[in-house]
Amino acid sequence: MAKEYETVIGLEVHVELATKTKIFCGCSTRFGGEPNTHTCPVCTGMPGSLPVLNKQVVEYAAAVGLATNCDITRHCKFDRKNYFYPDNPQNYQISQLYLPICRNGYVEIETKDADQNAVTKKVGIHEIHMEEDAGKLVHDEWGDCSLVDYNRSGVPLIEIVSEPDMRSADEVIAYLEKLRMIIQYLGASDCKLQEGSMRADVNLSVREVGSEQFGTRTEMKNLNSFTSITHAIEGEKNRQIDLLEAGEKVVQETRRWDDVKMESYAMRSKEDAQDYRYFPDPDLIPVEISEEWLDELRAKQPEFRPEKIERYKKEYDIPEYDIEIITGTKRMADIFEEAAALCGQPKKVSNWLMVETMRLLKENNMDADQIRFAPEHLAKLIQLVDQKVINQTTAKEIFEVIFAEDIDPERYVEEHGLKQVSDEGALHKTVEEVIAANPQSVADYRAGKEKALGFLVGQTMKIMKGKADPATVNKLLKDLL
Amino acid sequence: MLDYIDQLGELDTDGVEPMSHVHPLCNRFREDVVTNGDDREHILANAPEEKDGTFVVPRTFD
Amino acid sequence: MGILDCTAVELGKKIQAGEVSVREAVEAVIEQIEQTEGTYHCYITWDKEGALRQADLIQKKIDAKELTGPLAGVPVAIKDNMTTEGMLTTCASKILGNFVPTYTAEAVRHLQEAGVVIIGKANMDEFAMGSTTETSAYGATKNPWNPEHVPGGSSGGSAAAVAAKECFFALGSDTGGSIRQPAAFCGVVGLKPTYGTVSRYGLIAYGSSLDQIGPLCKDVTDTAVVLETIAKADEKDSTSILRNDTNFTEALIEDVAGIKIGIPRDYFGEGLDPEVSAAVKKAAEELRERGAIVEEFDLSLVDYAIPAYYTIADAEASSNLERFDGIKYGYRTAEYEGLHNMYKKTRSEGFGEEVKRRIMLGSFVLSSGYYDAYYLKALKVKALIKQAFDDAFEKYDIILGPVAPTTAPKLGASLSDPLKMYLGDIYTISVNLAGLPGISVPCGVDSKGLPIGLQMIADCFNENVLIQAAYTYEKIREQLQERQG
Repeated sequence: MAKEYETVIGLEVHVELATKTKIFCGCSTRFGGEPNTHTCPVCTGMPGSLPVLNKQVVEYAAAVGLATNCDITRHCKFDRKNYFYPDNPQNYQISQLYLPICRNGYVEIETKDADQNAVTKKVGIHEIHMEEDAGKLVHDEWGDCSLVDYNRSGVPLIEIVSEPDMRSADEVIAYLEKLRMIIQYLGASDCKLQEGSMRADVNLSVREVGSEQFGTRTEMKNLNSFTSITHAIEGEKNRQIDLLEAGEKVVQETRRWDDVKMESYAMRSKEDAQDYRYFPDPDLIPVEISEEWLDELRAKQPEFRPEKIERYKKEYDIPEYDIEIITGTKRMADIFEEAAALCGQPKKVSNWLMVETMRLLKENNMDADQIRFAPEHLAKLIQLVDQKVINQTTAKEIFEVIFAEDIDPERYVEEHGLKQVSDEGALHKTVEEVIAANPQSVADYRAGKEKALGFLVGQTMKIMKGKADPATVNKLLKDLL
Repeated sequence: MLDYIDQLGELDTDGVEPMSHVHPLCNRFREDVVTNGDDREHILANAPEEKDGTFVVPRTFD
Repeated sequence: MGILDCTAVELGKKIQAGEVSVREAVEAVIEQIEQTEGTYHCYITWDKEGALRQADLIQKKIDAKELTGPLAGVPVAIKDNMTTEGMLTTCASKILGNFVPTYTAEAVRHLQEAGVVIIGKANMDEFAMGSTTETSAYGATKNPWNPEHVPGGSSGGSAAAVAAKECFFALGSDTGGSIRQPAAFCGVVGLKPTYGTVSRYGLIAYGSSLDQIGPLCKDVTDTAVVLETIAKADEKDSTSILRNDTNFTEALIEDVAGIKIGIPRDYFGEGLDPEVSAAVKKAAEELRERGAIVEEFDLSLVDYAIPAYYTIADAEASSNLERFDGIKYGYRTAEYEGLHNMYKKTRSEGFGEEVKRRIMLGSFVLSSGYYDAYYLKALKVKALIKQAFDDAFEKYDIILGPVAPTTAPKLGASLSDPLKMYLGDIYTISVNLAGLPGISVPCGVDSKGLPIGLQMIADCFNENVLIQAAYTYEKIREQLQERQG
């Protein structure tokens, strides 16, 4: 194979916005729920129903646009995309074709060039528009029919359409991760591919290196993990190259990727030849975004992760690895900053977040966004340990309660009598008892086995019910032995 | 009828903005507050075919 | 004066005064319906028991002084394209033949809060597409003035019900003249408000950017009262406007001195029946004699209004009617093979010919390749028409003319030539395109004994001027008739 091919990839990413209500009605967007229990005449297309736009959707969409360097369309409107399908209650989807809310943006991704050097690359964003999600169709095994649930119908989406600027699966993943970080930092969505709050359709074509023209592209759907995206890109690239090498043409079509079989197949092309007859929705009036509103939105833009990481490197004496983890979500970063400011111990705060917090999140199947405890309480906990009011072991136990119930550790310590004893005098008697009760360990220690000391410390702690300062116990033991 | 509509072509509309809405209004919003509850009974009341709270339709293929 | 001869307001007063009970009013209407409905067929659905039940409930509230408004206890007919909770709502179509809504249209809700008694749902052209009420899937309505003639459309049932005294007033909807034209054909008053004045929530949409709900009444006073009751902004309708000038009853003043009335020369070309022309011109004269300044002018673009209207209305309708698919409500075909076959058969069997024709036209003008030349072009023409009216209203307070080129045609005469039927909308259509308020008041009868309507159009938000002029003209006619007979 003498020819060298280049892969050209563009992405259409749909993101479910984290609003409380749907885009055009006051139904809840809460996940789950019995079928059709979050519905009303508007999102089920009842005769005479009318849409009213949720302001928060506009704010999120514009925020994402600002964060991706887009021009915000000052005067934008909604259009109807007409097609018949049961998950579409009005048989038209309200979207934006002619005047989408954001246009001509870009994100920067870190990628590698041909020589494996790290480079920064811009991936263009053609436009971002607001639209409504469709309902869900479930196939009924028993009857030869399908069942429609409109709970999801009307959930607000933004569709982010990129320019065909990506050239590899790595770039695609980097782009998606960048988008996800931005959108999560804005609180606009939790962007979970597996749960469908972020959906990526990949448009891929190949061409000979050096060619100016684009090849025929195919669209791939049903990609719900980064691995399946990577597999799909590889698979489709090879399929197209094989076709061209064999002298055949690539057909423009929509393909579904099967990550188990590791192959794609053409979908029934119901949509390919369709004319959606887009026209402005007469039931909705335009959205005008004034300079004042735009200023407000700009002011609300948070510090994003790259800037935050840079700043943390300068401001906090903590390892880069730690910084990477705690800036993984804005929530955790915010907690870090607040707690660190309160107790002045960024390294310790970072540790608590990276170790105990992450552990508890994992155990409880929670995301960082769901952390409920207040930074003050973590800060206080750290201070209590610093002041030797409690020891680290006790602190860990208390932290679990802080994590679950957001208690005030100071009060908790009082209420449960958890203060540790650190006065040498008070501990003296107990240490003596332990020494007396464990002659073997004493002998071992004196014989040079350091571990035996740990055992004796442990025994002391046991008698003290954990409420002793291990350092003091340690010192006492050493003194006495 | 189509021939009749072709008449529109006679008019010179250069420089005229298409007018979707007669009144120059904009920015009609609702607040992001849940106002609807579970109305399933009503929503399904007129369904030609219904099963376990869902609308039944002929088999769809993705 | 029998109960049925009262206007809605007169009846309301008698009810408040205890002279007439709500039940008596309802029974009078029911008796009338039982006598004449077989001939006129104004209603698709009417509910005797339900009406009497409502009557008793409302009487109790009136007695308890909870309902003191002018319409409390007054029987009304609602056009069957407005949803009414618990009452069959069909849009005169087979495809909604079994649809019982679980929510009530906002305008109807306002009337209910005012204490009206809903007698039933008035017949109409299917999905409001027509000018004669002959496209109804449930049979045509006959004009009470002469049952061999149509009552007009699409609110033909509403207009006929008022004329036949089968209710005291009615609600209709107007997209291209569907309140004003049947009002003219049936000799009653019909008003289409400024676009956005009355909520469209619950009005089953035809041409969303043109539709408005409005009253059909026995006189202008009733019209003003009903309009006041239903003209309220609605947060459920994004196109609904908050107005603080809806005290329409304050415009019931008998005075037109200094009001500038413009009569478009373009309206009086060929195609206009000479008797209609004469009656309208006479009305203008009578207003001039009372001090109005009346003059002729050129209102351009009249001919382009019809193609622009049908392009826009049918485009919107083709999309609005997509929801009728046999899945969530309404008619579903009995036998089908697969999903798309089900869609096709359901809609083919459920929709009538005129509806299908307009859906096809609407789909065509939106299709890619034609969108710019037809739909966008029509929107530009709409802008030009609005401009033409804006220019006219710089000089005039009211534009006056006929409502329709003829009086009510005979049944069966119009459907064979749809284009001719469409051309009959020529005077009313541009009013919807420009979102203006328009009123039709009776101004005479032709040699066949059929009513002639006078149309007055005002600038956006100027219903008060219309009401004042219409009220004055009504008084002029009353005085004329008194002198004559």
